[in-house]
Amino acid sequence: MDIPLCYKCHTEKAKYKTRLQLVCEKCFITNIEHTFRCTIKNCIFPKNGEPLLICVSGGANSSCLLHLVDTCNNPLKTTKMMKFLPTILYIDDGSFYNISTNQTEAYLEEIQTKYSMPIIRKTLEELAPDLYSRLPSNPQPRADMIYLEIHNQIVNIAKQNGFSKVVTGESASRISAQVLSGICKGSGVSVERYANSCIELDGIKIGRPMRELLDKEVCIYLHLQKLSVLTKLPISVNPYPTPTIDILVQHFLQNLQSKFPSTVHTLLRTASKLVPRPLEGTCSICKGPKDEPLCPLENFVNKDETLCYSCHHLINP
Amino acid sequence: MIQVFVDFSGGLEDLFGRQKELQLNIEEMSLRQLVFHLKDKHLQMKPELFVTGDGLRPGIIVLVNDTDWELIGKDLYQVQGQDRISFISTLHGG
Repeated sequence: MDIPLCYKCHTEKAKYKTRLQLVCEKCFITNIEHTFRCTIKNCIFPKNGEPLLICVSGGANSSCLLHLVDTCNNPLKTTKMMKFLPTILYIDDGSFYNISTNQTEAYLEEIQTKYSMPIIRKTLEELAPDLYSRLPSNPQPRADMIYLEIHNQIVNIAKQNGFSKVVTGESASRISAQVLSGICKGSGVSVERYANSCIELDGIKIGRPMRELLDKEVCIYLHLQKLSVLTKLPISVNPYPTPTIDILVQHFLQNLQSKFPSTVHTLLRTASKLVPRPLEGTCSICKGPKDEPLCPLENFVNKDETLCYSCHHLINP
Repeated sequence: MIQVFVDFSGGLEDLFGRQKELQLNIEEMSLRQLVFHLKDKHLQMKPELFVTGDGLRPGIIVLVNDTDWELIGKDLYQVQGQDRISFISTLHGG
């Protein structure tokens, strides 16, 4: 089969098809790194000498984030070096995903050798000692509570260590799945926060510089750069063998994206246009806006007034 | 018979007994047939994460000698000797 030439350089044969474009390996890597550099400047604009906290979980997205930060910041890898001061934050939640300590240690040793950045390492058990006892057995609220606890702790650690800017590794595919699954779980009032390129919590700016990259692009980039990841399979607790809402929505979007390649970006762009409702009060769990009852019947439900609708159902599944 | 190398990553290795790489001696076949061969002979758990009724589950990237299978005919591609076929799952954590 004749393979066409790359759409960009018109010299090398195309090797990958992303977003309906056929691109060679070199142009693919250049595109990814250029897109990342533009997005990190637009969302968080790290200045020269400014400390920046890079949140790494060991998964594919954050491992890719770490490598891309290094390519922006390393004089050996780029002539247009950005001069912020990155520090890695690794919150070890391996015990919730059955990841052995050896795997975690091997991963951390590798990233320390490769990137020469300082690492702040904490375990989720030391940050939230009572979390395990509070976790419900149902896998969906369990995964949600772990996710929310980690993000709250990220803000606390940033404040304690003097960081005003943090970046996390959510990709376009991940954000669009979060938007849809958030609506399914009753947190529609917070959806515009998921879709924003940068949000502010307690004075800390949290940017998402990977938000323009699809999961396919992230995975191919990881493969080409031969980066290792910690594989965390989705939480599945017997007797609930069925997947969570998040997994079902991800599968649904992957299926749709394979047939209609603009799905993820259309969803992302539409969600970015949402305007937040002016609401008073903040939920004490997710730190998002606290929505008001839409129906008078909700007033009869025994509801914690400090929680939004979604978090109320999180702790009362 | 031809010899091919199959890689798994992104969590797929867990479905194949934590093997990241397989070296196979197989008859000449298409990629679609190879997928079902892997499912029948090597897959150890959760087949629904690897195949659907029609073929490979959406969300799994296939690279043949580091080239996207979408450029070489997808599952109709005839596997050749010494090919390296990489299966990468995009269902991953962040």
